[in-house]
Amino acid sequence: MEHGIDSIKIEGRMKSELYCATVTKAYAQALRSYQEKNAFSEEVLTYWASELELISHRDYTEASLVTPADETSIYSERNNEEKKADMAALVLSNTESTGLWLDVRRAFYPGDTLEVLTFQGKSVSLPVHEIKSIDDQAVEKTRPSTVVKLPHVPFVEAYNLVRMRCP
Amino acid sequence: VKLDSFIVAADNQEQIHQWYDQGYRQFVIGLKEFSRLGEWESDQIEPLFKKYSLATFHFEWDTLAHEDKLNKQLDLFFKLWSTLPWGSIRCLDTGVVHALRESTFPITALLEAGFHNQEAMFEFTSREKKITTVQLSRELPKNQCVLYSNVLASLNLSVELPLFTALLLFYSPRSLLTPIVGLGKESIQTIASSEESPHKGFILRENRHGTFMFHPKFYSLLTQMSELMNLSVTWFIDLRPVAFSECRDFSAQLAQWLATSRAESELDILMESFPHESMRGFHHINKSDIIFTKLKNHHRAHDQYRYVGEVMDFSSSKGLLVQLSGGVQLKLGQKLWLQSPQGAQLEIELSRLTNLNQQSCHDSGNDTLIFINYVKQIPSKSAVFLIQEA
Repeated sequence: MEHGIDSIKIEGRMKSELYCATVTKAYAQALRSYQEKNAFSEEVLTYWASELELISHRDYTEASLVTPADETSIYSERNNEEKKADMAALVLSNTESTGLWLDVRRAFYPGDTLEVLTFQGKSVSLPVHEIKSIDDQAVEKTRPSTVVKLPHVPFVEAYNLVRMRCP
Repeated sequence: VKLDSFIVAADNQEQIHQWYDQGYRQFVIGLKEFSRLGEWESDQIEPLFKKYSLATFHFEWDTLAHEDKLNKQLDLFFKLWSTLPWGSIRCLDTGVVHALRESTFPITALLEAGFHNQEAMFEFTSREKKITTVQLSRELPKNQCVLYSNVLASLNLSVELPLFTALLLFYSPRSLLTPIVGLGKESIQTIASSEESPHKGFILRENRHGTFMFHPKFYSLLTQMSELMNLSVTWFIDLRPVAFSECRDFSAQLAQWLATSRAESELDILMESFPHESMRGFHHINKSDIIFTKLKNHHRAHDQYRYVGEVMDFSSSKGLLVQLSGGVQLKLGQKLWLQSPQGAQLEIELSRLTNLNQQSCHDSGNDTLIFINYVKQIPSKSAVFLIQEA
């Protein structure tokens, strides 16, 4: 930013929705924070680092930004990638009168705790107490490619992404 | 076609000899310092000019022009190489072309990295007056090769087309093979397979400039010779990165075939001595276009059908839950076209619209999630189109 770079590109074409949402949010917050405070606090850096560690990714490297990239920049540990979080759903709608409508991407159950990646601020915890189908029938286990309804949750908007920590 | 119409990237003296003996006179020389795949050492160059006095040698300068290396390369070029009677300097990087504007040599611009439109080619060649020849991209289809060849000829620029070359897929300035093979070799060459796809046979070379990955098949227009030879262009032949020891016989046979019969019936036998298969790339037909035609949803492209959104879920009592994303407002009575992922297609009349509060509506208003009438054969992920009046 000090060098006047106006735009950065984040790879997304071959990445998952969860990867794109997490990385884009982390960078957007970092840039906004730096613009406001002209520095990064240790606390927020730690938080963003922990968010970036949640997604399936190759090792992070500065490539040739500071010094020419050497063999330590080569990633060859694909088999050891550990999945720490998974996309559970996409928010379709969230109003007080109709509740939270989710496009389900993986199974979850009443009793699970999900997290919503809001566009601003830290992610919002989403404890799942009751799940209903679009027919208002109780759902014991969600199925991908269906829509389910949960009670309204403040600060959550359409197109927020819902993730689930892997055990 | 005169043999002067062929320009051959030579890896060593033996290869020059093979082609020179057949009557070929144009050779590309790649020095290790300046060329991505060149194998020539500094002390081998000068004797070539004496030994092959009828030949014209062209200096290859196609490495990535790093900011910190370019000035050193320029110094080296003017100190050691600019006194030799090169036929041309063959440049890939636009910065190198510009940096050589004061030199005495004509420049062949290697336009393999883009310049797939006339505007870019004209702009570049008109700014850089030293450019006398343009090597067109090996990704151009035949009609564009012909068009650009004619247009560039009218600008008094010579045109070179790749005839038989490797297809570079990937380059990194990093040494990607050394961590696997180990240090100690100036150049590493191997064949690799993809971890993420069934593709295999990629030719890899690592040298002082980085790591190069090539398509398993060579680009070859040898089968098109009879119809292409009418073009007034130069034809570029480059067997690298295949080691000369692996294509010695092929190199000799190719030189002979081009100089004599050029019979298509002999090509299969000729190719038997080459260690890789060949293809015409996009020259004859762009296969991607054919594949995309099959995948293309004609209703999306057609003016009569406007994309509305996607079915997210369904219920026989509530209807189809549609997420509207096409910026279209639905109204009762409209005609819709529904298409399931399995290929089922149905035309329906919109007879029911219900919002998430279960209130019936006349139109979708600002809602982006709305129920429409239930249709039995239409599951989740089906696409919804509005049939527009003609």
